[in-house]
Amino acid sequence: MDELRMVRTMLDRPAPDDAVVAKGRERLRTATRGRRRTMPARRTLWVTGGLGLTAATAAAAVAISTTGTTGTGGGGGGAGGPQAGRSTTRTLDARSILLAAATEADGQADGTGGYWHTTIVDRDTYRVADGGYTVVQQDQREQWTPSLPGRPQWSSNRSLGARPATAADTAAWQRAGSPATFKVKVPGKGLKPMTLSTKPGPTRVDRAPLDDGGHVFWLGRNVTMKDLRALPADPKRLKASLQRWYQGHGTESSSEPMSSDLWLYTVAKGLITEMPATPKVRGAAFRMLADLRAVRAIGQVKDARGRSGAAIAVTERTARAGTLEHRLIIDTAAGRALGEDIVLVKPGGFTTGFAPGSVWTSSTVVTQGWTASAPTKATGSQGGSGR
Amino acid sequence: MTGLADTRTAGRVSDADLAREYRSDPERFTAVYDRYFGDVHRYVAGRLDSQAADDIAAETFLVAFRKRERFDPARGALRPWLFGIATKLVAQHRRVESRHYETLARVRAAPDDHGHENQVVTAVAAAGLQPQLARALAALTRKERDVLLLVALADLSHEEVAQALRIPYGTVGSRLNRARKKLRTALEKEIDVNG
Repeated sequence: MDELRMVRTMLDRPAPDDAVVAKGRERLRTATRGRRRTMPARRTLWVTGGLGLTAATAAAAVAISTTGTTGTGGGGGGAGGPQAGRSTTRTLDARSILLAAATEADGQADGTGGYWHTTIVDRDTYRVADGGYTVVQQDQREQWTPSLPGRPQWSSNRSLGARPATAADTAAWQRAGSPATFKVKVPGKGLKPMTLSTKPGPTRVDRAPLDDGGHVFWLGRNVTMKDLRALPADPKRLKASLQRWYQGHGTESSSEPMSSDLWLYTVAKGLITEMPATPKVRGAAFRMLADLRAVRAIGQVKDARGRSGAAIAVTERTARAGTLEHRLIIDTAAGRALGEDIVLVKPGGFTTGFAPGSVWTSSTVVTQGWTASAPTKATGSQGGSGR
Repeated sequence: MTGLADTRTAGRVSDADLAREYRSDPERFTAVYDRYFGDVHRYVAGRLDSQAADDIAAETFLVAFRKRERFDPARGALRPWLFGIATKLVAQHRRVESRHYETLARVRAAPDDHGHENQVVTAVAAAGLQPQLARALAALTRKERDVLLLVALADLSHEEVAQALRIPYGTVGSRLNRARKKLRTALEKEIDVNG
């Protein structure tokens, strides 16, 4: 007597019919089309395998092209008061920018609440298939991450629409008859073009329970809110605790090697821009970056929303997307990051066709802070003034 | 080149490659659906019945899509991961599941069925002993039932069950043994009584 086979026989049901399979597939398709960016967006997706998630805006590209070059020297620990980076035109070196931000962060009071709420606008650029011009797609994502496990995590996502990236792109778009939708190339072999619309999309509010471990963020490995809040506030110890998870490859794919500095930058960027680390830990993260050899200063730049900040950068040479410059834009006076731009220094691979020096993708922090509660099902922020 | 195309032409794309593809392009997640929907549906239908499975199996892939970043190809294949999600969803429908077993327990095999020699032995046995079997299944703890049915319905190996339920390998064996023993005891009692 084989009770396992008896159970199988008793519980055997016919395979689902085609209509059921098709209906389930359509439900999934609707979900996948709604989100080009991975939902719990803890990482920039493009890093290695991330085809199709790219961005730039005309405004950002113009702003960056007018910024001065790096002034090195200065050296040392000159934290140079919080105002220094803002009110003067003096170009700071990377170390000074980062130490100024760290000093500011150190002095801030720690807070906490029911949920850590962030609003971020992602901009991704695409080449229009057969159009010969570039468009920028903007997506706004909000997240409410519970401070305690046991509560769900909420998110609200909305497309803010796509539009031509630069004046030249606008002209090309107009010559094409100013279409309201764009068929854009999705980098990667065998991937079909994707359709973008100039119109903003609906807001989708989602909630999902945390996994069994209560993980909420990614710092080289998945961490809980408790893990995040318990990180060391000493830069050397912070670096050691993060670096334990570095395995010589990128944050997205185990098949692409990544330098230790770039890896640490990637992890620290997430911590600084999106996560509720204590202010002292944020300060330690800035200080850790200040000691990385690969990090250098870009100078004053405007982010995609037109806000000024001091940028530091790390260069990455990729096999598939050309040479990229990751720019962390820092508001030194606030001790915070405004966001990140990824600039195409030398397009290549699937970024061929984009203008060298243009911002390929960016993430901009619009708001962040603790809130008492998450949205209820019916609401969800309708916000989203993506200009 | 790191070849999406290469692996595709080479034949079956591995789960790790599938994961890489949908990380690049979320819409490729439908390939995961195409590969595993039938298996997941069969498993859920066995536990909750077909109608509920139509919805829950589809829901499994929506949840998987939302959590796709958490799937780590280094820790195991997609299939056990999906069954883990399906099992959690089934757990939210405990009433539906127990009603399903009650229904099965009430379906008495027609007396004629017993004597037919041309029937597969296990099928006859299952039919004849169905009330006992269904009741014994319902009487298992949820944890025992999860393990038993992931093996019986989903054909997962012990290691895969461990991955799916995130429990230690050894626990899979002990739960499965306990579950099988309980079923056997229930069935043996019945055989003793009926000769």
